[in-house]
Amino acid sequence: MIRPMMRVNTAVALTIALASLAACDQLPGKPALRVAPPTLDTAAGFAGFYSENCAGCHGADGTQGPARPMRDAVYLAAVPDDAMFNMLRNGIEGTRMPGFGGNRITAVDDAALTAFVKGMRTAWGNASATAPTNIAWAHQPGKADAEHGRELFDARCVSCHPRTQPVGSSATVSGSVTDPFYLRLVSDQHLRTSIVFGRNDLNSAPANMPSAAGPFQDGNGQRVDGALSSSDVDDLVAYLSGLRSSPLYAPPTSAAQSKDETK
Amino acid sequence: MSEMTPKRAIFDALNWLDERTGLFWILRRSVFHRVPRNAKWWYVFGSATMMFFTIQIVTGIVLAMFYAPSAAQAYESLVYINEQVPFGWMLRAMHGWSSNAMCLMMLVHMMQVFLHGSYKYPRELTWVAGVFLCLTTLGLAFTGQIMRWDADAYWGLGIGAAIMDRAPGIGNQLRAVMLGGPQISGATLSRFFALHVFILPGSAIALIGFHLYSVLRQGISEMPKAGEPVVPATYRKEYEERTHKTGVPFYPDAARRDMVFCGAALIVLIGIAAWFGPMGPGELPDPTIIEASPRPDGLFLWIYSALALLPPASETFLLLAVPPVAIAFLAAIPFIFNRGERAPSQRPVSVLIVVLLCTAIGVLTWLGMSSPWGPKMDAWTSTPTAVQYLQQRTPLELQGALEFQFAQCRNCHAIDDAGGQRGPDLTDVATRLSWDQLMRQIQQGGGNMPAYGKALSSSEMQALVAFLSTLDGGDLAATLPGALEQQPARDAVPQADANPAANSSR
Ligand code: HEC
Ligand code: HEC
Repeated sequence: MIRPMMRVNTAVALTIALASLAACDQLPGKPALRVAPPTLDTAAGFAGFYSENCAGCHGADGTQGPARPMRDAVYLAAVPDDAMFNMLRNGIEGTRMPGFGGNRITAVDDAALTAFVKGMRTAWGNASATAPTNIAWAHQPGKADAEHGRELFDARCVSCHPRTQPVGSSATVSGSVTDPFYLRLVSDQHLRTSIVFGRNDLNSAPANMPSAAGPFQDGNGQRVDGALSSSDVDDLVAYLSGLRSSPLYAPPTSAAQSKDETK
Repeated sequence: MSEMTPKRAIFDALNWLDERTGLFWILRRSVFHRVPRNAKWWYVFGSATMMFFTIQIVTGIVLAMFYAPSAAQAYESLVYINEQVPFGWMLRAMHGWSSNAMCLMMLVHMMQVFLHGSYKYPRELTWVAGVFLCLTTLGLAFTGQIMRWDADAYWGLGIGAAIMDRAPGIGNQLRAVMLGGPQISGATLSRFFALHVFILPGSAIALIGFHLYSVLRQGISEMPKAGEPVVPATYRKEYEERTHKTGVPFYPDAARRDMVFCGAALIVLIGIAAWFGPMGPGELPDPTIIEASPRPDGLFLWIYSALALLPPASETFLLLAVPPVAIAFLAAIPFIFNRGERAPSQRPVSVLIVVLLCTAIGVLTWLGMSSPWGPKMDAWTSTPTAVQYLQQRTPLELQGALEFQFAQCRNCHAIDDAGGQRGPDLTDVATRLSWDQLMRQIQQGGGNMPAYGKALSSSEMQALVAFLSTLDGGDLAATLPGALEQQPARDAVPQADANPAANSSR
């Protein structure tokens, strides 16, 4: 009687062993099949990289950041691929735009940046978008008439951008762009980009920064129509650029008074 | 010559071998040597460490048959092991968890030896070998996580390289030695592969050999008793007498406990591996896909936290000077405290040290897991500022907001809860500090904040303070005369520019 019993036992044990072997395939630890994450040149892959690396300055969804919006089809169409690539790889020297490529440890390699530029165009670009004025994006250092720039500034910009702007007074939010403190922080390219493409994502009441197509305001706040020409933009940039070296004016807080406060 | 039975043939062959190698003598000695009767469950951790090491060797060899140690294929080969090799994922899971278990057991073992003062005469070198084994094991764990060649591996390498970089004078060279070039590349992986499968396991085996040999030679220590200090002149004689009189053979008495404990540990390991599965590989190291928040494996989390919490000014010193000194001290312990009481009750300082270290590492690990406080290393590029703090701002104030990101203030300071939590939230800073106080805080630092005076140009300072002076917590009234009220009209005296050359040329 013992023999058949043992056979049954063996059979049961074998079944259990086989079943648990089969069950092994369903153990909770078994990793799920890997789904390849989206690559950078797709809209989804691009968005991930953007929110990791750009959103802090250029805005969560490509607008409404302290740096200029990237979700701007007209702007994207105007910037050539290689210029965009260079800015991303090396940053813009002397400004707050960091580089993401090159030799540093966390660097992103060139192929990835190229893919990213492609992805950005797929997500936010539109090849046929053109600025009404068709003024080239790139700033070309060269001959420009700063004096004419100054006249233009007086005729079209100064009522929104008064030359002396009380810090923090929100009377004129556009603020002074002639302030050397400000000018020393931005590149000529930034000045040009701002003038050519304007900026309308921050809802700057009472009026947004117009593109080169206008309309502008004269010294008395009256509307001035008429687009700027390419050389007008050059002259304006030359004028603003020349103001960088003017002396810095510090706010007149008295050191003595503030020393008392901290005590 | 008697009749040749199979049994007899085997016996003869073994005898032949023993005569020439003495292997059985060694074996007999290790199996039946006498150990103190009172050496009970406290003594199982060393064996458990070794069991996990054996598992590492076995699973490691099998993994090495599938793993491709090249930058292009490493990751894919791990995915292949996970998905195609039968039970490959289980193999990886066992290797990964057993590595953690080995480190854990090793630390517990070390702690036990330290608390019981077993490192004292005559077991000094056993302890020293143990210290080196500890380093080797941690090295294996670190290089092992590099083998995954995913974003976490990159993180680990990046931190390692950054630490090397700080070595004065030879930083660059050290970094090049570590990475096999100026940056992380295929050469780095080859280098760490060689370390992980040849150099470190080889060293570990040699050290374990010596460690075990010394254990056999010196015998394991008895349970410490208060009032029975170690006196080198008489210790050995007394120990031998005692173990001879009251000791029990290692097998089966002590070995049984080892086996029970190791068996239980093995079952737990298999359970954990089956339940939690293999570690990683995480995100691809493909530079076109960027990992959000890489973290080191659990074992190194406390270092990660410590790095994040250290005041930056002291980091270089702490990173470069403290580990060598600490390790040298650890190895020197048996020579400094060579004799005397072994019982923990007579050595309160040692107990206190262990408790403090465990608490510190435990807390740091916990912080590393949650790390709500740590600098958010990527906040400066990834954390946007809510639009209400950007609307109606002047160009200079917007530049200040940019500088706030660019100078990585955001990694430690939040605005409206978004950003690092290491420094105070600055949403309403303008109601708390005046313009001058803001200036001074940035220039001179203070609290845990570094001084930025030398790092920022006067334009950058001006922009930053202009931006901060607009942060009024959504129209809160100033409690002090804050920067809001003080935002002065900027029309007065020219200020000497601290650093005109740096700013003026574009
Ligand atoms: C730390 C803040 C910061 C981050 C992060 C940042 N940028 Fe910028 N970016 C700036 C600033 C500031 C400028 C303007 C610099 C100047 O003065 O020219 C700028 C300029 C640019 C420009 C040129 C604008 C022009 O004038 O035409 C492009 C394109 C650009 N950024 C793209 C990106 C992309 C893409 C990313 C993410 C990969 C990124 N930036 C991340 C701050 C940042
Ligand atoms: C209708 C008012 C208005 C006029 C006219 C105007 N701007 Fe602006 N500008 C703004 C506003 C508002 C901003 C701020 C952008 C914002 O906050 O949305 C701005 C921003 C700028 C900036 C960029 C500031 C930054 O973010 O770095 C520059 C440069 C600039 N303007 C130059 C000019 C020049 C040059 C002219 C004349 C051709 C001009 N603006 C005319 C309203 C105006």
